[in-house]
Amino acid sequence: MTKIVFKLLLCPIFCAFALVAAAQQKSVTGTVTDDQGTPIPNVSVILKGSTSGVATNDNGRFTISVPGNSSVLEFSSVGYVPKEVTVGPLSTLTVVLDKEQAQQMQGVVVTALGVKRQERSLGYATSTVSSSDIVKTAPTNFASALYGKVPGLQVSQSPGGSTSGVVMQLRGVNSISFSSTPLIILDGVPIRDGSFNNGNYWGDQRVRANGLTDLNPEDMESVTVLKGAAAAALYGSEGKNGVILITSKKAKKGFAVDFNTSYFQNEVAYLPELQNVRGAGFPVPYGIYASDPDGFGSYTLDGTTYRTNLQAGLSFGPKFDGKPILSWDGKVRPYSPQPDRYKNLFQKGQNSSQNIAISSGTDKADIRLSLTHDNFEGVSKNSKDERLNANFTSTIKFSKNYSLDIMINYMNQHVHNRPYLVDRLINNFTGMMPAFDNGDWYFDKYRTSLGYKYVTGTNPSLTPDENLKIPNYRTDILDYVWNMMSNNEDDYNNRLISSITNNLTIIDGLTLRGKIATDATFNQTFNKNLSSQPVQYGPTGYYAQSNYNYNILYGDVLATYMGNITKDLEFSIMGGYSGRREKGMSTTVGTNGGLSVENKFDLSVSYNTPYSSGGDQSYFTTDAFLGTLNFNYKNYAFIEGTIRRDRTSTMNPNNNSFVYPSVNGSLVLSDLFKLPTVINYAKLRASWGTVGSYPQAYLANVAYNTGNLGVQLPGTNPVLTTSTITNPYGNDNIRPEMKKTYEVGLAIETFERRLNFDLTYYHDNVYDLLINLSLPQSMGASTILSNVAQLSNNGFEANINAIPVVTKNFQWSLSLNYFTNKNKITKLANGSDEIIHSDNDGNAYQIKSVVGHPVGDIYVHPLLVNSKGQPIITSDGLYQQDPNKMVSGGNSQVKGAGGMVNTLSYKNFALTLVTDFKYGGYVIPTGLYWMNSRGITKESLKYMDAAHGGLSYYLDGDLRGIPTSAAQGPNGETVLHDGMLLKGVTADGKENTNIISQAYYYWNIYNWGGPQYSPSALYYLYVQKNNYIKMREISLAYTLPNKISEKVWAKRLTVSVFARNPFYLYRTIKDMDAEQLTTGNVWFNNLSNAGSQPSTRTFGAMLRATF
Amino acid sequence: MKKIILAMVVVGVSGIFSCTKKQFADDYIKPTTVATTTVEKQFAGFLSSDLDYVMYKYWNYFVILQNTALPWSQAVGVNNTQGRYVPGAAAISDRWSNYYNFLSQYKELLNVYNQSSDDEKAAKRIYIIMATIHYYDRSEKVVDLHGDIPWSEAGLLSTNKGNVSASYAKYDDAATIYTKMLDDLKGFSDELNSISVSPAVAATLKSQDFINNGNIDLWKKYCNSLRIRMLMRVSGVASFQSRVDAEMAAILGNPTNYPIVTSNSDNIVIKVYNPTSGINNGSGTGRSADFYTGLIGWGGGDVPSEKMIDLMNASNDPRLPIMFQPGDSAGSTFTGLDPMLNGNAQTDVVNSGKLARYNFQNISQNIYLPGMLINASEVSFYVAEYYLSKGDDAAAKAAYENGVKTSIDRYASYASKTVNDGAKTTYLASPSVAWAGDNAAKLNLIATQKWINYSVLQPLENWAEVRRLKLPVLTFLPDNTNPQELPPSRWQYPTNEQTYNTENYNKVKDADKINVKIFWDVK
Repeated sequence: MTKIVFKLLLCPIFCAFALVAAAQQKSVTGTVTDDQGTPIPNVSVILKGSTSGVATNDNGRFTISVPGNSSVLEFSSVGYVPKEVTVGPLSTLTVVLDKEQAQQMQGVVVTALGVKRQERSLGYATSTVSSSDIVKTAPTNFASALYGKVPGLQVSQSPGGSTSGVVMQLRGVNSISFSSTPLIILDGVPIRDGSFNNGNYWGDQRVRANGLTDLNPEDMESVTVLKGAAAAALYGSEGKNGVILITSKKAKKGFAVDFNTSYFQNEVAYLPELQNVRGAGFPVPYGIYASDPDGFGSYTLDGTTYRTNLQAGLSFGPKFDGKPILSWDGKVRPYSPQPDRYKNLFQKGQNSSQNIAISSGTDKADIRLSLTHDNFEGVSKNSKDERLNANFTSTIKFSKNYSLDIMINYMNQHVHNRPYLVDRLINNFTGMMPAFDNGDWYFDKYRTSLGYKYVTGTNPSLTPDENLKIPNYRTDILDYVWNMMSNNEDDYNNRLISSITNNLTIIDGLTLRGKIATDATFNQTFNKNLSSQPVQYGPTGYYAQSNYNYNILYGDVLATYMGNITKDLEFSIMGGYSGRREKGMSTTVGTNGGLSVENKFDLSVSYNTPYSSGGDQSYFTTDAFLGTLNFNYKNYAFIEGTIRRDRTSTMNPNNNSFVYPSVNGSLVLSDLFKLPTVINYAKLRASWGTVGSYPQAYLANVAYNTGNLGVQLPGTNPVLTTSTITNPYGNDNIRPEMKKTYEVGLAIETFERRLNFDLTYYHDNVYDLLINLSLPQSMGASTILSNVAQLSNNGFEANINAIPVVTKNFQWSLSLNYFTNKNKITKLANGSDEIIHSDNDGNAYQIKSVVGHPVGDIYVHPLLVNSKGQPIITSDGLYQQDPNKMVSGGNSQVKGAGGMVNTLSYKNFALTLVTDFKYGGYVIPTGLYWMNSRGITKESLKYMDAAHGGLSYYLDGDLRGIPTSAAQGPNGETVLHDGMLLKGVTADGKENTNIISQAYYYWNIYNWGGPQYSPSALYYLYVQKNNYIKMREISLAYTLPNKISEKVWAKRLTVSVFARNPFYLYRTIKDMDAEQLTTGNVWFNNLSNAGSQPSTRTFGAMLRATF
Repeated sequence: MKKIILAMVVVGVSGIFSCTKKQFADDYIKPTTVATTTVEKQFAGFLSSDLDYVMYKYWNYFVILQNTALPWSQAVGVNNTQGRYVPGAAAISDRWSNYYNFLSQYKELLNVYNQSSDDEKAAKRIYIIMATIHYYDRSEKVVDLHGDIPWSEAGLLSTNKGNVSASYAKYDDAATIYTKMLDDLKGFSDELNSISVSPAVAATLKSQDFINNGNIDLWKKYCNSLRIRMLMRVSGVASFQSRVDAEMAAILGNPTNYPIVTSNSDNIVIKVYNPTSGINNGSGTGRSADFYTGLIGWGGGDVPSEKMIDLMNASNDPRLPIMFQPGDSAGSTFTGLDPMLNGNAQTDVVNSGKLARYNFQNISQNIYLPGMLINASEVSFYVAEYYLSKGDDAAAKAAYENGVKTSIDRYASYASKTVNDGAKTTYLASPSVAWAGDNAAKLNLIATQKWINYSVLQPLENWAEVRRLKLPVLTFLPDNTNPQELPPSRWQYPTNEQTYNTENYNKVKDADKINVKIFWDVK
């Protein structure tokens, strides 16, 4: 078997090289123009019968060497009719290419299973983004180049740089408990994508990515998005979330070398708005902290007593005065703002990428070989991501009837320390950085001079003088820095994606295609955690080595017959089979109980034996029989039906097969009717289809976990155990999720194709949604896999392409994408009218889905009011949350999104501006609001003094605030000026008169917890709309004049500068990046957790050359 | 011809990948799971499912006990932080989830057992008795925390074959649960005297029963000692009084039929044979030891209370240097944390290194500590209390002194030391320990010794007894920043219940307040 593959692979490679040859004698120069005389750039000029060729420059000019006057040159360019010209005696040529006719203009689109079809024949919407639009700003993965470019596609990149995941979702959320990520297909091969969750700090402290980020954008010719069920129906149980088809670059006719290089920098951006006004503490009269009367503490260092901050979690203390203070790192500095304090925990990431691609094509064979080397860095220190991508594609035509396609994509990656989650610094009170603090200080102090982890107080240390004793350090931040700098994890990733496709024409009209493909991942990981203390205090540190392998083996065979029923009615029928097996295996072996020799990284120094070890295996099998039937009437009316029967190993073997039908059709109105001449093309399309989705492997099976506790009492046998699986409890009768879609669309091209519209309306119903339904733990399981819900999505998608201005030197083109989506839970089968997905922060808020509403309402306790609707104020002057009621504070689903791409070109300059926007989704970024309670945000400054609107008052013996305009209270009490009087009535109905400090207000109102824990916390204030308009990409490119590029033997040389995420035009939440909360590819991962990594903006420069 | 060969190759290559029905069936099953099990395996699985809460583990101490039972019983010093008298959501929900997973494994054991043949049922009855005794031991603790809990109908999802709507569990009345447990345990105590276990069953039992290794005699002692603990816990409740009297008399009057744990060799414990086997206190050692990192919490969590240290100093308690060690900068002076200082002052004292700590070597970093289920000392103290209440002073004194002696011996064994009888006698004669005074004073002696004996090693028992007897008298600094100013009387239910078991929860909702007392809390 492997031998066959090997031979099939090798033979064409040699053939291809043998066919590549060239020879030159006479030099010819010329210009290529259209029928209007406008020069056409980038026209391929090939010497017939050879592989040598050039491309025209931006002025349509070319120079080529030919053997003699009888030589024939072939001119071709997309959108023009190819032409052959005999050179003749002259050395200068002027060639005019005719535009292709309207019919032929309609490009060819890659559809399901890699079948190429005329765009005009499709009954469903597809969108294609081409290579040049993907690589313009050197994204580290292709998905983050799709922002705002495909109607119906939502993209969000999880913060954390090149090794962080990207979420894609088509036409709204399609699943309640599981991922809505589309299926990714590379040249017909389903590739491993998988899921990631960067919001589960206690499960995994590092930022991780999904598999699609491994694919190299430089090797992609185009990305086609299949959205609806009809488009994806041939993928059956995996097409439910849509399909992303990636087509690799292939050689064009002639010989070419492309060289691209880019450099860019990431910097931390869109951080919370922090205050720079006051330090740690709390208004002294409240007695929350023991302090000197001025709110400071003191510390004696080397005989001198200095003032210090308090070791205080709250930063409502003394204002900065610029006078000396002893900070926790032992230095005396002015007590002054540290505006970059948090930013200083991070670095500027330096990134570079080089790509070289060699391609050569003839009638017999083409071959493209590309090598890319990336060096990426995030903003997290001590992290690096180095990648080498090799890509090989080739097509060999052995005869008119038999050809072979080969694709080999190899990636070799070394990740040194995937960035460490900042969770503790955002989501944990004790890790939030106070105002008078600085990331730089932490880098000085996180380890001792001997290289051990910092030591606090009087804990034992070899360097007791270095112990941290001066108040107001944050051990959470020290730990973060220690972990980031000292816990090293090196990942060595190898991934091979390859496919070989045989295309055979048996008789005229009958073709057979067979494909075999693999996606194999081999990963090694080394963990080396430094010893954190001297070994005499107990062994610390850790070493582990892990292997992870994942293999996908895919095969399909398709037979197609095309024929004519009448002269005007063509048909084609296709039948086939595809099968896939996936095998995964992982093994980890690590030290146990620390390292017995400090910082020696090997299993042999494990303090305990046996080593800690673990391993697992996973298997997955799926296959399908499929068929399609197409009719084409006079090339303007098309109809297609498809059917697929799936089997999957993730469901009960007695009930694991499903049938997915679809039908779609299109009508080219502009051919059918005589339309006004302004309309060049109009097409109406409609489709209906069903696709599905099955549970992930092993979720459905009801079984027992097995275990072995080892021999206990010596002389007895090992203790063998079983336990029922309680999270989730399986379900042997589970059914797949079924999505039924219908969609209609209209494409119109007007004004000589300078103004084109494409509109789609779709309606999806998803039945039998798979849910890990939450249960009361007292029932015996925390969740159960079930099919209880039904939802619908419907919406419009619009795409407008326009070229508003064209002059000789200037062109403005514009592409506008927009979609709306309305999601709704239509039914719950268990008789209930809501599903509670999660109950958070001690019942402070819940994520629910309620029948009739979109998925994911954020429920919070409203303000407690009396029967007259007046807020009830507590005895200490605060509002309360209503413990008995929860109301929706907003829904998490995006209602609409889109983008605009503007390209302005002037002579050799091109400026591309990509903006994108989203609206309608609510989020609850709890950590950012908890920062208000710590007094470290700008928001928490409100009412802090008279200038900020604070009232003057003093506190009586019961800590009740009494208004005063005197300098002192009647008994000499201190007068404070940070008072707030909350509107409302006390429990007995009287107007509230108790003035409270704004510090007391913020501390309590933005505290953690539901009514049981923090009666005055008002979580409804945390629910915010997350709308934005972002400048996503800016690229300014300059193509060098031929005169210059020729000097370096280049056909085309372009330099550009670019920016990604440079700024917002608008955003509703000022304290974060709109995508800051993206931590995983299930929708509920992306609503509340701001603690993965900081967001970034990127600036860079790029050089692209074609030789 | 060529084409036909090529076509066969194309189809043939793909054909290699066509999937068989068997592959689908094989791949459905997760490699780490099995479809069926046995009573023996499920028994051990059940026993092991609460090990994290029996052994001395980080999570239980850090998240759950450090913020609740430990400071509220002053087994450790109270750190006067804000909100210290409200049980945290994480504490409640983690403990609850673990208990209900444990309970579900028990119900699954019954399910597996009930599906077996009558012969097998008869042969393996012993497993059900043992499992139920242990299950009641652990259930008692949860009833003592919450009061009424879902119990008789809980954990039946698997038994009901995944039928969700049939599996919502009602709340059982706490006193009814106690009654049921006492009834059953009484039955077991007789049944264990007559049960016969075949050699084949006994051989497997010896390995699978990692508590008593199939020693029926020890199971009898576990059963009867547990009855004593439960009976004494409800001894103040009027409706239980006649039962308490009758059963205590029956047990204590017939040690042959109803043996109890009276010496340390009988203690019901889960031993650690090897810290890296499946039953352990974590494999970290020294300052990385699980128990140590959990107990110390955010810092200062392993500092004892002033009350305990003062008492032990005053009586020259032989356990003092075994259970504790002086602070880093305290010389040889043992000092506890004053609960009445404000939080900042406490932090200063803790940081100064002057306060004693739970002894690293013997207690907090001793990874061989056995998981304690029931010990001779506590049983003796309950027996002493019973005799005291019945006016049998001599028997009360004997039991009390046995309790103290076995406690000293047990703590000494953690240090691999022995304390000679002379020292014990001297200690028992010291003023704050000697059996003297009126009944109230003697009850205080019993309670105080029980409190020291429980210390941080049996925190839930400790908190229950401190609540029941209100002895020893503990003082706390009120938390003025929170509506809950002093330690509560119970834990509320986790929000998981009000959210997902709403109908049943609503029936107990009104009593779900942290100052509602458990039914046995009548003093």
